[in-house]
Amino acid sequence: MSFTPSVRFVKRRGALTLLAASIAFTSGLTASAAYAESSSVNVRYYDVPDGALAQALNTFAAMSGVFLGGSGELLSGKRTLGFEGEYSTVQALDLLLFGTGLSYKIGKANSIVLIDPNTVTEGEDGITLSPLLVEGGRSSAALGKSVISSSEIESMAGDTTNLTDLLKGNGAVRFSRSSSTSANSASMRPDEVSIHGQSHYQNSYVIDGISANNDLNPGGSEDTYSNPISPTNLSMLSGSSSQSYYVDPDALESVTVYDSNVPVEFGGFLGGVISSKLKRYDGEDYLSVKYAISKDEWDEIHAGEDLAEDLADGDSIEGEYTPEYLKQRYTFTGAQGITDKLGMTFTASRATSAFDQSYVKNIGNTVYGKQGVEYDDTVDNVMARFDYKATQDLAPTLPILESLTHEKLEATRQKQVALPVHYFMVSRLPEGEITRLASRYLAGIPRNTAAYSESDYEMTSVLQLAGKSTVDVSLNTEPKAEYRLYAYQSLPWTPIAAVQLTYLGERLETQLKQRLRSEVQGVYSVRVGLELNKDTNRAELKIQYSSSPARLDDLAKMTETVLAELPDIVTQDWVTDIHAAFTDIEQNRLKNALDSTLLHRLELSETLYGDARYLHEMDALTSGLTQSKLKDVAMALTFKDRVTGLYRPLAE
Amino acid sequence: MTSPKPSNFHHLEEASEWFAVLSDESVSDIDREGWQNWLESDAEHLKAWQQVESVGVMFTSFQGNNLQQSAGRVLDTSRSRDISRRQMMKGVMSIAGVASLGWFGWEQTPLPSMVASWTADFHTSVGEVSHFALGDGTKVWLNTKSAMNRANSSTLRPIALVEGEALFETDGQVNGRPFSVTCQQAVMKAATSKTRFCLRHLSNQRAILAVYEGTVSLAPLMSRQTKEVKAGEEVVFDNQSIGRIQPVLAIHESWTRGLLIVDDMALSDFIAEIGRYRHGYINLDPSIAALRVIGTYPTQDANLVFDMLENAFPIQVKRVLPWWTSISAV
Repeated sequence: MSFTPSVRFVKRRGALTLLAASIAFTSGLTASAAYAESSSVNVRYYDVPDGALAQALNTFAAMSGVFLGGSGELLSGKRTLGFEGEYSTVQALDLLLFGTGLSYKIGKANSIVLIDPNTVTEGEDGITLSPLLVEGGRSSAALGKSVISSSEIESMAGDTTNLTDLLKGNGAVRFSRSSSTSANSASMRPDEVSIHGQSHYQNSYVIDGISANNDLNPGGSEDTYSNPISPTNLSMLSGSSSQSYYVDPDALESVTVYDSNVPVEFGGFLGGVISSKLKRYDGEDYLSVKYAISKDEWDEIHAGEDLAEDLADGDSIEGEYTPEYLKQRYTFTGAQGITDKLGMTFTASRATSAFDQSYVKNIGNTVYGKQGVEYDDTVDNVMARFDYKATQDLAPTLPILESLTHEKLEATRQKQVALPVHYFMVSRLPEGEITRLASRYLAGIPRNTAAYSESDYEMTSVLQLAGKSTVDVSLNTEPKAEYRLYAYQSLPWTPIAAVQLTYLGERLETQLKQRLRSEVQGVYSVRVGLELNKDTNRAELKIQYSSSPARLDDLAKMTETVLAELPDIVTQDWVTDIHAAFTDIEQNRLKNALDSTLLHRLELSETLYGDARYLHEMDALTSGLTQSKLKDVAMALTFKDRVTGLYRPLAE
Repeated sequence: MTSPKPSNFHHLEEASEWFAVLSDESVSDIDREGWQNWLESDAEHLKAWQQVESVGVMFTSFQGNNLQQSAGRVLDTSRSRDISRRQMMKGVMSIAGVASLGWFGWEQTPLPSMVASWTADFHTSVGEVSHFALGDGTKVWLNTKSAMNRANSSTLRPIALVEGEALFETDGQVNGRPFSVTCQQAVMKAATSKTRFCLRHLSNQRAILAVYEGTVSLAPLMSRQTKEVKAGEEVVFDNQSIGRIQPVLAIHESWTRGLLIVDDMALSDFIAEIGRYRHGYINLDPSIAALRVIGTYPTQDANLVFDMLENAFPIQVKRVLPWWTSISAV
């Protein structure tokens, strides 16, 4: 039994942060049609609007496919903030309940009920607390590989004084049968382990990518049971081991054990790989002090009656028992930034072990009586690691900032100010007055037209090429497929056409979503973009979604069908709806943001037509939202030029 | 037929427990004596006993199994043989009577209507939901314990919902005849070509119409009044009057998918909903009847629903007998 108090001092530091972008691809399967048979479906698309939790609950149940219940009293007055995206059921539930103070309990057959985690009820049987929700994440990324992180090392129960102690929870790792016998209780030597039954010296120990195997005599050791410690065999106390360093677990960032499916970078052994990574400096200074003690009083040793006496005296000819022992361990672990680019981590630990054994000394057939032996062992471990960041930061460095003078800044400003400028103004002043002011104060600023060359500011657009093509590739590392469609059609920009296309795009998205989901299934996060690009004078269509690989071809076919039937989605009901909605939006815009709307449209009009005609045509915007006109537009949108991308998962 | 008032929760609870004890094959004389004493100690006890017994008899007649027989055998061999047999007979005789009073929460079912259901063109038993298409393209879902007749007329295409609940999905007219359906209280006509609506008989000679798509016109049989009920609305009516239009609830549609979706419903009403899909009686402690239930539950798995309720509320669900479940406060 051991006891481990620890203290940790932390100072946060902003500098020297390594940019770690982790892109998590969610692996999703198709939403199954059957309700509440979704245990195999991990990730779904959710779109829960904010509002009363009571209402959101049933919306959520419908999206997640779980049975979900709760008490009306508990939910009353509670609101959810709403969320959208692809999540697992549990993640989504957490988002749903974020800020409500409620928790949940998962029952049989995909049923979940909401509970108040803080209720305490007192009944006949005593006090009942609400169930505590314990959520565990298993850090097992692939078959044959398991990773123990530093936080797991820190929270691991029991005696974790060396590397192999950390592996006790791994099913593929076998420890010697005698590793927990009394003979070993005082020993500080790491246990030898066998992975999938291979000899212990066949394992590969790697620290930060460097082999840490003992090359001298890795197989020369056995456990102390089969080769007991005795006055003539004291080498077993330290002895040969398959590891060349006994690294302190506190110095480790993570330990990865590969018991099968071993990556190619490891080789030359028959057992498994135990690869450890030392802690590295990550911008946080800290110092942690740890003290661990284990002693016989806290241990329970079970012995058969015939051995009880031997055990009590600690005497045996074979020295099998160490009933009295005291093991202590002091560890200092810390990280410290030295310069902006240099950081270090260090661990210093001292472990001591003291125990007594007594032996019957016999040479040949002569017995010389009992002889006591006191052992006092010390293991010191010092580790320091320096990390230097060699790459250049993208942000301006101090020398660059220091070389910046007022003159340099002023010169840049002058150059900027002298460039030719267009002013667009919306004003309530009389025309004569605003012209006078503008010419005096704005047109009066000297401009250096010579410094301006149109070609400097010309941008070449990258345009989609004409024609039809399909890209069909297997490249997804996740078991899902992606569909992409990019299409265009020449169409001169007009405000009315832009509005029409915006609404047609929205309509197409809802129709496509609905038809793909109801008629084909296996699709999620359908996104459609349809816009009239004023720079290219093209109607540009973009469709993308991810799907189950098996359904990709059917979905693509359905997408073609929906596109071909584009004019059919222009129904009178819908037109009436959007007409009203647009009129409403337009009125609202002119009421609340008249000036900025006028300014924006003036700029558009000037750029495209060279005059202010858009402002005069503004009232006619709604005229384009009639069924016949929208149908005409939809009919004209054949999108003959298109690229379809079918991205399938990599073949197994 | 007498009209016994419902016994209170605790008497029923005790009666059901005694019933369970006596149903056990190894029932002892002491138990029998205890039961006898209990039965005689209060007139209310006898009444509660009769009620439990009649539910059991009814259940047995529906299930057609012999779960009940052991209790009957015990009763035959008990010392109070004569009384018991008499009680038993009385229990059997009063099935219809008890049923018609509806005190135990089953769908109110007068005998003629029961017979009508058995002879109807389409009918479902308790817990069954069936789905079929009529020749004209109309899709019909028939909920638990419901019956529907199909008639022919030259002007209309009337369907008669004899009992229970049904959801109709119409698509277009046939030869210019609008789709129409009658129930015991009123006639409904599809006012638009595409409609989706649910019609359900309630207790006290009332019914509810819930419209999910299109418009349905509603005309009570004994009144000249008609009302158009639009998508997103529901209304309760009887054969003379039409109630106030309310926003439609999901529950009248979700059963077609096996779901019971409730949005703030009293536990007593919720239990009555669950009870529609299963045989047997649920004895609910009145002290918890007012708890409010929210959520999405299965219609076909009462045990799962009970588990969920136990997790969400401070209540305890006990299944005393196969056909007798009691729900009380913890």
